[in-house]
Amino acid sequence: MAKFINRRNVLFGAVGVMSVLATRDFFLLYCRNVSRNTPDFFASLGDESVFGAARAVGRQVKRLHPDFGTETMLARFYGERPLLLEAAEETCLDTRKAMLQSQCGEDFSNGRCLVVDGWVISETEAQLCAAVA
Amino acid sequence: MLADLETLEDNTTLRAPVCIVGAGAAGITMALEFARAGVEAILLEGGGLEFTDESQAIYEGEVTGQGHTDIAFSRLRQFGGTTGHWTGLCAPLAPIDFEKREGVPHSGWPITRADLDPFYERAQPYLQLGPYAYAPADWDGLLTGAPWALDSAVVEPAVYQSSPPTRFAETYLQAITDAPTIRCLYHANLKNLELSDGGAVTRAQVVGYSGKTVFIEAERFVLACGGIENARLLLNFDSQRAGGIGNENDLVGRYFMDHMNCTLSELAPADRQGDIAYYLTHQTDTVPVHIGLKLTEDLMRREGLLDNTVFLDPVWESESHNDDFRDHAWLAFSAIARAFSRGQVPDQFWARTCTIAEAPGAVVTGVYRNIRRRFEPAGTVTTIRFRQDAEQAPNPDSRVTLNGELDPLGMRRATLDWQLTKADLLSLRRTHELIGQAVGAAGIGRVRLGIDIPPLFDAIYTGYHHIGTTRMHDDPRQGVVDADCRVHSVQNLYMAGSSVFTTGGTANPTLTIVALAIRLADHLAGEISGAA
Ligand SMILES: Cc1cc2nc3c(=O)[nH]c(=O)nc-3n(C[C@H](O)[C@H](O)[C@H](O)COP(=O)(O)OP(=O)(O)OC[C@H]3O[C@@H](n4cnc5c(N)ncnc54)[C@H](O)[C@@H]3O)c2cc1C
Repeated sequence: MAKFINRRNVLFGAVGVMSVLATRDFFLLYCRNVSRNTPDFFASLGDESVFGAARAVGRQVKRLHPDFGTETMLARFYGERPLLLEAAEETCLDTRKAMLQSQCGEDFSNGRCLVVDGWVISETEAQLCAAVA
Repeated sequence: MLADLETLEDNTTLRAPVCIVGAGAAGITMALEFARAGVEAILLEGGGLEFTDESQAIYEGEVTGQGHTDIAFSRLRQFGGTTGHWTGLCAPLAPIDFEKREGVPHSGWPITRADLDPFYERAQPYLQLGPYAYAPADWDGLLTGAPWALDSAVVEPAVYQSSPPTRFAETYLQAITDAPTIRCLYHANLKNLELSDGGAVTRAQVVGYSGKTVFIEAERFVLACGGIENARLLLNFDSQRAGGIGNENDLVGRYFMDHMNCTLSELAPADRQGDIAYYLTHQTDTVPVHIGLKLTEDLMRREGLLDNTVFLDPVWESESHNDDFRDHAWLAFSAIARAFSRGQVPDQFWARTCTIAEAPGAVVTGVYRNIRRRFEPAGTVTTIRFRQDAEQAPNPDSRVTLNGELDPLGMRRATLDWQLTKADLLSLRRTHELIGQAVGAAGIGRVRLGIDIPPLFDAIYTGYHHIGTTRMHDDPRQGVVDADCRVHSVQNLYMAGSSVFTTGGTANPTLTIVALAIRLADHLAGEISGAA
């Protein structure tokens, strides 16, 4: 089922999915050296240190691929991965997390991944992190 | 029979169908195999039955090139050889290691893994290992934990076994002494090999430490002095052949390889309480088994990658369960503690005690942590480090040469110029990246690569595996020995040990050394009994 993509769900979709990062521990490790000045908007998502790390990853992604996380890119990206939009609207956190991992897993299996700051991450993670950076 | 060379008359000549030089893993195995086949053999050992500075000093030399290695102390010059040091991790080389691999220059043995399988099987008991079973399926139901659901087209488990580790001196001295067909001389240093005009070794000149000389006449000679010394000896024997015996094509000493011992890259687990027991050590009924991760051979071939097995080193939440304090002092301490717990007097007791005294910090930390871990739970896994002995590609510029200095026996000392290339490390990086993709796909976690572009060599250490200096190849312009381990240009001179490996693979070498030694002994025993 194709989801309707508009400006609101492009950005909020990213934030929504990101709130249940598939591998929270990766972000916890990543954020060992990241400053924790997280704006309120992200803090409301609960785990601000993890989210801070996601944004730091996003900044690195954008340095390598400036077009990642832009609205145009995200719109296309969601078009190809409708599961992500569904995940953003999913209220059960565990299910949302499983949906996100399923999408990341598919990326990895198809070689759609990149190395950011040494970390091997999926394109989905890279796009979402770039969107919130 | 066992004797000190010093007890023989000066200028004595001894004769046997075969003479083996060097009583380490390779030499002792060959002598015992000849005994089994009823073939008389002389076994020469340069060192004594115990460690002495006098013998060990002959191994001193110079290290240039890659710095994190050693030429003197990583080898033991005494009866039993370096098996007095080794830690006992064993696995056969993989089938792909023997192939001519497109992405690996100078690869390709003239034999296959299938050729070696029967000899690997016979090598297992020499190293006090379990059954010849290295396929993960061989251990189904016998190991704890469950393998991760990784894409089997990308990553598969690699099985290793642990030897106690077998100390050849302790384990086989009696058998060597008792064998009526073995004449083992210690303090017997090979000084020269004399060649006939027809290109055969006619006799070996052997010297003791007091200057006493003994000559050995044999139909066949085998050098089994270790990966550095085999080359050093051949290069020294240049009185009849310019550049040394077997060195007509300037190959002796070249293609020196070691394993790149390093803990690089890490895995952040998605679930810190996830089960990693399968990838740790298993105490089975027969032998301790370790499971690592490696890329499938198809993928290695497709990507042109060198071989590697990643062992997972979990870092536990509770510091007391982590082993990151281990260093030489700790290894010395555990060797002493192990020997005492078995009711034995530890070998090299004073040398090991001095090692501990010089840097006792790790021992204090280790003892403290080992006590604490008895009553403190490990907690969750914070990260998992990738530890390995990674393969380097054969490289003609990585080599053992002679320098101007002479040892007390008047032989030129060795210079070790261990060279690694960026391509060696980038291959390892790509291997970790592919493992990262597989664990990402399975939702196990995310991998952080520990190798940058361009790569740095400062975290790479020696695996203490000296490989390739008299490499095996059908073509004399590409290898020193043929598929039977015979020096191409000498009718009756054979090499035993890791110096004949064409490539290093990633498996620790001693199981292959012993398998090749059995194969060579079979071959020579067959020739000798055929001739008789
Ligand atoms: C710290 C350490 C850990 C290791 N761990 C492992 C491991 O876990 N797994 C593994 O597979 N391998 C391991 N190894 C490597 C292993 O020890 C060697 O592969 C093995 O001992 C080599 O056997 P060899 O018979 O070829 O040589 P050696 O065992 O070195 O024997 C050579 C013999 O030749 C004698 N000799 C030398 N020159 C002369 C001469 N001129 N005349 C007469 N005799 C001579 C020496 O005295 C010696 O006895 C380790 C090595 C070290 C140092």
